[in-house]
Parts: sequence; structure tokens; C-alpha cells
Amino acid sequence: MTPEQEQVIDNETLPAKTKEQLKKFLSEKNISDDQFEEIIERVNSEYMSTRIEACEAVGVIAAQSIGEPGTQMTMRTFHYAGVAEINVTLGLPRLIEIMDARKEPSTPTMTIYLEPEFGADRDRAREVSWQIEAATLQEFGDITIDMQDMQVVVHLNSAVCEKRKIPVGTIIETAPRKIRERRHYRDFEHESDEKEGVINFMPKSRESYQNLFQLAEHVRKVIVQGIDDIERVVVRKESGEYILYTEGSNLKDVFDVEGVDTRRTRTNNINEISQVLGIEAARNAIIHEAVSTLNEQGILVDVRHIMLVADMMCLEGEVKQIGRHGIAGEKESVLSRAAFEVTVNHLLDAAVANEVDELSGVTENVIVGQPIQLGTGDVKLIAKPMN
Amino acid sequence: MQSYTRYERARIIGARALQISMGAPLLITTEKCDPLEIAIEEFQQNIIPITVKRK
Amino acid sequence: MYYRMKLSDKVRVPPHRLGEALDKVILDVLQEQLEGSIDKEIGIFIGVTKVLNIGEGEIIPGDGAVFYDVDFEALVLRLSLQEVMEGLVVETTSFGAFVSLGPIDAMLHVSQISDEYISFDEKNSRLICQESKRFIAVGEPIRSRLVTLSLNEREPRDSKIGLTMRQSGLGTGVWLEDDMNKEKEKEKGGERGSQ
Repeated sequence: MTPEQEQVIDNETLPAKTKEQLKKFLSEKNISDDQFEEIIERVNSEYMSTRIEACEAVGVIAAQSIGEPGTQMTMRTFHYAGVAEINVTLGLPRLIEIMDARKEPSTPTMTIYLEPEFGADRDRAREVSWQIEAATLQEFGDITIDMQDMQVVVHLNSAVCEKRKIPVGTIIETAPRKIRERRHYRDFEHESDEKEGVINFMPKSRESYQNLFQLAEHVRKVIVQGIDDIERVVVRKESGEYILYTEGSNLKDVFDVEGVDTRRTRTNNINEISQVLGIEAARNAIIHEAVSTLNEQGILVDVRHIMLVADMMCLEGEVKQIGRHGIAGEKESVLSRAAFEVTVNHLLDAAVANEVDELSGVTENVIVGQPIQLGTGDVKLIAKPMN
Repeated sequence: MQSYTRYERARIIGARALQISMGAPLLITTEKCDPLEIAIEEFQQNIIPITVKRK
Repeated sequence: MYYRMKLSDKVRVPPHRLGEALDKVILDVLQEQLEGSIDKEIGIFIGVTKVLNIGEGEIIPGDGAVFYDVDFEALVLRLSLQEVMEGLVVETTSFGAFVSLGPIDAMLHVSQISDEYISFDEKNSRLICQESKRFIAVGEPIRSRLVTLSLNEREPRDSKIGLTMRQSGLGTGVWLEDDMNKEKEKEKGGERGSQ
């Protein structure tokens, strides 16, 4: 391909991706000018024929295109295709979660990619995973209840601490603090001996056994290493690198961990993505999640329909659900909202407030019986003088 | 402006057919008697006196 | 009062007239639409004089006709209360006289003709004042004042306009001439008297 031909491709009005594919395809080949012209013409006419005409009812068509395959989806929950141990919601329930813009998916999960030095080495990958996976105090040593002295005694296992690359002092410092901050239990005192690796917890009221046992529970369950929301981490080798899959999601804290590749790591919690990475990222995440949910069931929907829905949800800068607390409930037309859900409330409120309905949308015109502003209804005809 | 979308085409031919059925003078000579067919033929010859106002 | 006004309206050109010259068709349709009609705010339309400007023709769904926005000039009679009008008596009855103001008829009730008692001469179709023997006959010109105005847009014939002549300066042509002559006599006599 000659530089002039490349220049011609650049000047064409085609999507950027098409141009790149074209250039890549032609780069090694020798094309004569005639052939090149015909190629460009055919590419252009193909592109033109895939474009939507003005006045097309894209919203209705997108809704149907996503809804119809939806009736063929099943409600099963399989194990995640790649990782046998982690449960992820699939199928119709997941699609509903996405469309409803749920703040917390029922099975949050992250796919954490690592920086090259960490991803190539199994041990370093494991180190990162320990920094992320929430580990309770129980994993670091023995916890016993001393009923005679009314205290809970923790003997830390220094071998475990070394394996997991966390100094004993850190655990001694973190444990009581976390019990007070995270578990909100403050009725105790503690003493510690760093050299021996021993911590003693004493409840404030020295009489009550109940308090003692309660304290013991807290001590056992307090999380001293890793990120609180991440319940489980699985390390797997895929395509030559080590990747972490998690149950539980906390994008912000995971990004702070050393070794995490923040450019590829993703989560299925769209709300988190919107808060940490912004609304454009959330829009892309919605598209990605919806597409993969549908594809996993073997259903192929043209991505443009899903793009339309994602764009509508993210239009105002935050992720809104499609239902009556989101997009459908914010329509200007009273009749349209009344036709969607909670009919009487909307009509009553509108009557009290003396509202006016402009009759500019589809639903209200159908209700009233006028031609709608879609398709042929959007065409304005002018008569040309006959002579 | 000569390439019309399918909606514009439908509207133009429909309006012209309605006019013909209500007694408007024809612009072509034809043997057909159905207003819709006459309108389609006028459209194909590009002489329908109706055009579209695009925003 | 008569006005020549510049107005705008939408004109519907029916499909069977689409082949004719546009100016003529618009004028025709406008005349048909407006002549004799009454608009409460504008008045009584007498006729359309000139078409000034024709806009784009629009076609709406469901109707094959073409709609034009038209600016035009029209002659209009706009009546207001207490206005002094001149008209022609077209009919006399026992309860009063009907006076034509041009495009519309008004009624002069028998109680509004004069301060005197009025009787109706059926044979000669006249309304006669008992004392002064003044009368109103068909075909006479009348100057009167508008006292009631009720225009019906939908049924122009049902509009009711009431007149009165019970003021100085009002009356039939004959009465006014008489009054004018008497005034002139008085002036002359007064001059002579002062001399």
C-alpha cells in the first residue's frame, strides 16, 4: 500500500476502527489504483448501508432487540466459566441487575491483573493476593479463652506471619484497632508482648462470661490483613500470566495495592467503577457486562442497541436505572409516567400542581390518538408549486 | 436531497395518492386507475410536487 | 367604523384546485371563507381586497389539501358601543324599525325613536310620532347611536345590534334637515333682533 493510498483512507469519512482495519489489511499487499478505488467504494457503500435512517424508532427497536432474547434466557446460576470455585450471577438475573443499576451486585467479583514483574512470578502473585484477601486473626495463631483470668489469649504463629509477609508488630497494632473501628466493640482493654507474639484481651466488666465470649468472637473474626470486602482470592495462570479472581469487590483499595495493574483490572460492580473511574468508564462497563451476560447464554445482540441503553442510563453523569426511579420516572410528560407505573399518584399530583403536558413524546400521543413523532410522523411535507 | 429516507418516501407517495384520490390534477399520462399506483409512478419519474422540509 | 386591515390566516387549498394559479385560488378561497363572517375581535368582514404574501404550502397527515400561511388586506366593519352610525331603513314593524348598516342590520326599537308616543301606520308602513307628526318610513336615511352590541360568531344572522335616536343630532334625514333649518332661522332672527 502506498503512502498516497494511506492518505486517501485517512481522509474518508469512516469510523476510526474501520480505517485501521482497512489499513492493517492492505498494509502488506500491493494494490493497483483501480483495485484500490473499487475497494474504497465498496467499503463506503457497505458502511452507508449499515447506517440508520433519520426518523427511525431506535429506542423501540433497541428495547425489542434486547427484550426478545431476554425471554429466551434462563434463570440458572452456573459457576463462572473460567474459575470453578467462584460463583457469579449469570443470565437473566444479572441482566436485570445491570439494567436496574443496582448499587451492589449479588455476587461482586473482581478480575485483578498484575504488573509484568508480579504476573510472571507465582510467589509474587501470591504475595499480592495475601495483601488483598481478607484474613482473620484466626489464621495467624491460636486463640484461647482463659476463663480463670477472664481474658482472651492470642498466640501468634510467627511462621505464618513470615510466610504472609506481615510483621508481628503490625498485627498486634491492627487487631485491637480494627475491633474498635470496624466491629464497633470498645468494651475491652488489651496488652501485648511483641517478642513472644502474644496479645491478651480483657473485657471491661470482669464478671460477665457473656461479654467474654462476645469478645472472643470479635477477636476471632477481626480482619487484620487484606481488604475487608474481599472475601476470597483465587490465583490462576492464564495465557502465561498469573491473574487474581476475587469474591467481593473494592476497586479503590485494590488499586492502592502494589503490583496491581490498574489499567486492566476490572470489577463487575458498576457503581464502584462509576465512582472510582468515572461515568464514561461506567458506560463502557455496562456495555461490557451486558454483552458478556448475553453472549454467555449464546445470544448475540448488535452492540449498538446495548450502547443506546448504556448511553441513556449514563446521560446525566450518574448511572440511573431504567425503571420508575430513574429514566422512566423523570420524563416530563405526565401521561407517559402515569402509563408506566403508579398511575393514580402521578395524575393526582399533576392535577394539584396544574401541570401541562406538551404531548411531544410517543406514549402520550398514542394515548390521545394523534400521529406520533417517529417514522413517517416526523416528516414535514411542503408542496412545490405545480407549474 | 434527492435520496429520501424510507419514511419520507412513504409519506410523499401517500400524500400524493390522497391528493389524486381527492381530485387533484395529474402530472403524467398513464393507463392506471389506482391513485396509489399513479402516485408511485409519479415518484419514480421524480415529478411529484411535494418535497420534504428537513431540520 | 370601516377599516382596511392587514391580517394573516391559514388558507386551505382543496386538492381539486391544485392545478390553478395560486394567487387566484387563494383569493377565491379566502373570499369564500371570510365574506360575511364575524370575528368578535376584528369585526364584520365585508371582503378581501388584496393578497399580499403567500407562505410555504404545508401538507398535514390525513388531508390531501395544501395549507398556506397568507397575509392579506380586508375591508372590515368594526362596531363599538356609543358609535354614531348612518344607515338605511329597510323594514318597519309595530315594535320598531330595521336599519341596514351595510353588511348587517340593526334594530331601532320603538321606545328609542323619540320622547313622544309612537304609533305604527300599517297601511303606509310608517312609524309616526303623535305630537310632532314626524315619521320614519322605509328607505329613509337614519343617523343613530349604537347602544347594544351582541355579535354571534357562529350564526351571524343571530347577532343583535340596538340603536337609539333619542338624542339631539340624531334622527332621519328629513328630521335633521328640519332641525338645521330651524337653527338657521333662529340665528337670523336673533341677529335681526339684536340689531
